Amino acid sequence: MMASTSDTTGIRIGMWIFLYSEIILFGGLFVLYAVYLYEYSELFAQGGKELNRIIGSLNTVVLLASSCTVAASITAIQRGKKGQAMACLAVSIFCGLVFVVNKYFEWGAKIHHDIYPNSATLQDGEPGLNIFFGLYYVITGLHGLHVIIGMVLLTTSLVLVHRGRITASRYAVLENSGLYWHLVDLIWIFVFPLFYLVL
Amino acid sequence: MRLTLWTVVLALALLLQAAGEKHARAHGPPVETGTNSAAAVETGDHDHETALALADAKAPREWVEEKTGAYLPLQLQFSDEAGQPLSLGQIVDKPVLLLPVYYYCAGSCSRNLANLAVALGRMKSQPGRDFRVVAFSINDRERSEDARRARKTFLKLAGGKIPEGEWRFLTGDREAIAALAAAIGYRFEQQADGTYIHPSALVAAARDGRIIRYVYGDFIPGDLDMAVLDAGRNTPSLSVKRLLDICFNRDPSAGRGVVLAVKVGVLAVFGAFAAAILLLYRKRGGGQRNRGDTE
Amino acid sequence: MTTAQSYLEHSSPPGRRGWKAWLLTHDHKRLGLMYLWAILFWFVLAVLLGLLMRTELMGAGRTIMGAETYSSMFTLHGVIMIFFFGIPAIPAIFGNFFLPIQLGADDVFFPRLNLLSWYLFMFGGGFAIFSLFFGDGFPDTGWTFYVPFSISSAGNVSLTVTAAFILGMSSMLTGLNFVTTFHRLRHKGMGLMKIPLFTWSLYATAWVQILATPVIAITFVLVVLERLLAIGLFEPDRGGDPLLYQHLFWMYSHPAVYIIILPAMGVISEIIPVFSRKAIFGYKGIVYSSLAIAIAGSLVWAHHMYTSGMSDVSVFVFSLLTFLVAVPSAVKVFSWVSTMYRGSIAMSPPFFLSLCFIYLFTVGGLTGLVLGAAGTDIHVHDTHFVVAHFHFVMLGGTGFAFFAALHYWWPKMFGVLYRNRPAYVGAVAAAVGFVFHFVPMLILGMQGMPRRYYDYLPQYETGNFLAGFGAYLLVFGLLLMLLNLVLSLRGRRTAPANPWGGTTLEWTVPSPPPVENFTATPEIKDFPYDFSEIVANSKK
Repeated sequence: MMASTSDTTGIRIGMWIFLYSEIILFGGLFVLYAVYLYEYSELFAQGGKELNRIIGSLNTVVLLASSCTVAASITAIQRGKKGQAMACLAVSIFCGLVFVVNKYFEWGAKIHHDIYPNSATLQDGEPGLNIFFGLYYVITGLHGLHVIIGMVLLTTSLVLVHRGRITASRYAVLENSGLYWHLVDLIWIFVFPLFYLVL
Repeated sequence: MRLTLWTVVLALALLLQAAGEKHARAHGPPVETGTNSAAAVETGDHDHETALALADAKAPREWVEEKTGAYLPLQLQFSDEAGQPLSLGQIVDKPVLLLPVYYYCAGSCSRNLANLAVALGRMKSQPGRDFRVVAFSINDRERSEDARRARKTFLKLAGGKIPEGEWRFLTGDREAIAALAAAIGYRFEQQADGTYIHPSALVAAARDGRIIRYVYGDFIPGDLDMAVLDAGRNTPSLSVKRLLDICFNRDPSAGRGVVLAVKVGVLAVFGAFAAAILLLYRKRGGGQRNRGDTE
Repeated sequence: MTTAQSYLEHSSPPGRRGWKAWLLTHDHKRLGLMYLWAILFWFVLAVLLGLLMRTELMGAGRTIMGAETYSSMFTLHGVIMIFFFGIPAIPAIFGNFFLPIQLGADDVFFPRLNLLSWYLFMFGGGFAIFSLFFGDGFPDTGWTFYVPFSISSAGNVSLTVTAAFILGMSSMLTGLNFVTTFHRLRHKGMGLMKIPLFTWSLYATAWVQILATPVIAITFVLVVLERLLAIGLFEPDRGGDPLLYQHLFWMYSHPAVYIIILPAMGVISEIIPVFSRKAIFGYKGIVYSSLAIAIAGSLVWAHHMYTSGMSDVSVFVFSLLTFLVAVPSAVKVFSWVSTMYRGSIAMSPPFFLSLCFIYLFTVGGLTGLVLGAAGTDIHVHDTHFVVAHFHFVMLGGTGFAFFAALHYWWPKMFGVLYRNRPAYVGAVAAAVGFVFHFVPMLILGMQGMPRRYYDYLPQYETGNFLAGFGAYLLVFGLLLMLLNLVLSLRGRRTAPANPWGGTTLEWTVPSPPPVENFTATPEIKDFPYDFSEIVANSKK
């Protein structure tokens, strides 16, 4: 009765619409960033210097690599190579873990230097710096949450591949999880220059 | 037939409610005649309307009894923003605008301080050169940290036009506050929940502490300039009696009855819907089979 | 067709019994009914709250409640009416029920996602109820939750805002489902220009739901973060700008009102041709104007902010754009009236309610022009003129269209006919009560009475007292109509498949429809509003 489960185009349409909505979710935050960057240009530059470009670049490379392996896992399953697909997925999940751990250390360092929302340093200091780091925590925090959600989706896909529920003829779940992961990567590609590079 | 009956019942119920409300309105809410606001709190009828009635019961000028010509008690000790002791005399060495507030007032005080801050930026007289502003808390439980926080906010609102040290934020103990308030004829009352009813007014005093003039309500630059000018000349003058603003805090316990009625109403409507759905569900199981579907 | 196959008796997926057959259903029709009961609950609640507010306003000074309580009342009334009624009502109830049938499909594209949408709706409702009963009490910020008050206010702002967030997710997923269904499950023979106008309006609405809802999602996330962490993104003394909150908020909430009105217009576009026995005038005009309203309506949000302190250039630009949005709406009104011209009018409760819609919505739209023009808006901003305007379009508009849809599709959904006379009495009472309630508000607003105040100057007392009587009549009418509909479920009069003589696909299936929608392949007409057969049959 439900012809829709075999209509992969329809499933893709649904997933892409959902991804648009996630982009707009972050879009609201980027609007805030744009307005405040205009208002506090020098202080944003000053704040940007406190962020470590090396860790940021490392995170970027890690996410790009993980997107590559996710795409590879889809190709693998399309060719019926279950083991390869699982290995690629495992690499992606591991990369996600590396990203989250890096983020933990980055935040930890900032918190140790008394730079976190409503900290004394930010409260007593320049308002523009408070806004910069406020946006930093909110945007990278929301992005980190999406990384974790993406990792959950990829792990689910891994398990389903292992159980044979995702096959060469039925891999919509894997494809959609992959699309979600690509979105997470794409958002980082915007966040990284805005916070680490252009300032 | 039954539908008509229900319709009439519903209409009557709604009309009765309207009539009842009109009756209540005509007779008005109970007015507290006592002058003790604490008593009003104990009866549970503490609300904006009653407190206003109370405040109006005393003529407006009784909240502030002008002591123009008298002297400020300059020997009184307060704490400054750093928590260090400070006597009034140390900061009244030029014309002073003295403003009683409390720093965590949720009512009109913040607005008044904000108005004052903005007005200070627009005055012809210059803070520092011509006068100094002194705000002091009437709440003896507030400490210098509260004063510091307020100072940061309001100095910012003044747009950086106030030089360092020319707007002081003081806190003090109960006796000092009472003495200063009495000296300037400023009356305020603490409520059972810890907030205060107090008028919005400031005093302009000369460099020797003589009270020159009072400014009320929203502090507009014109009034403030006049006050500073007179204070500079040390000539007591008449105050312009603008609308005296009384400040209250919101009382979340007000209107408890209506909120309770809403909660009961939600449960009642929910119960009615649940009952209706259950009844219909049972009916549908039995009734549907008998009905034919004609095309 | 026997009733044994009706969706009310048979579950989808098949074989389920009892409560599982409803709470785990994949059937879009059952989900439509489940939404119906939930949304009617919220609607009745919010109407009674409105009545409480109006009772307070009937007398100067404190009548039955004080300032803080009144603030909570209008917040609760607004939150429920916008998020729990206005936005979901027509799409979630009638959209879910009839969009697949009108397209000749057997369900939406993602049935389980549809079920999830319903659960999200109920879950969000639970949050709202929780925030009313427990914690620090319902917020008093207004449904607009303006900062900085919403950040420092003592009430359960975080809970309520989270409830709205969850409801936003529900709305967005419904929109996603509809767009995918529209593109992938349409019957092969149904080209774009053969799709009924109700479905077109739902399609335009769905895009707005998908693209605008995430903005309010992030806005509410920020409010919660600010309350929890005090970051300062909207606080002036920490470098923030409260105006940015207003921009983000209205960037969703203005398109939201188009989510509210577009499906209503779709309903009217369905009803008018049927009872004029005449094809809709300007089918393509209505299709394009629906899409135009969706697009242009997303560009005008700052007309809620003319007096907020933004630049004169912004004010000018948004005022200009706001005037442009009025044009496609007018196109629709002209089309409906032209449809009726020289038609063969048959009066019925849904048609009567649609006529009320056309009048009340037009008045609302015209008062919208007064508000859209920045110069006049400065005089009436934050007065009861605004309140009257949006009630004209949202209650006189969507509210009456909702009741029209109820009366139009009730026989199809339940297989029963209701009694017409109570429906007419209720509709007239509601319409007359509406006018007596809200027209004084237009005048009071122009005279300067501020909105969201529980008290007012003595000169406004007469108007408010009169408005109160209108309110009671309006509520009486609404409740009477609902009572009449509910009582019809006793099943005293069964409904045929096509009681009104409609031409869209839902009228070709039995009342109530079978669980799989179509037992025979649907026949797609060349034009969805071809009444030639109906007219020919009636002449026999």
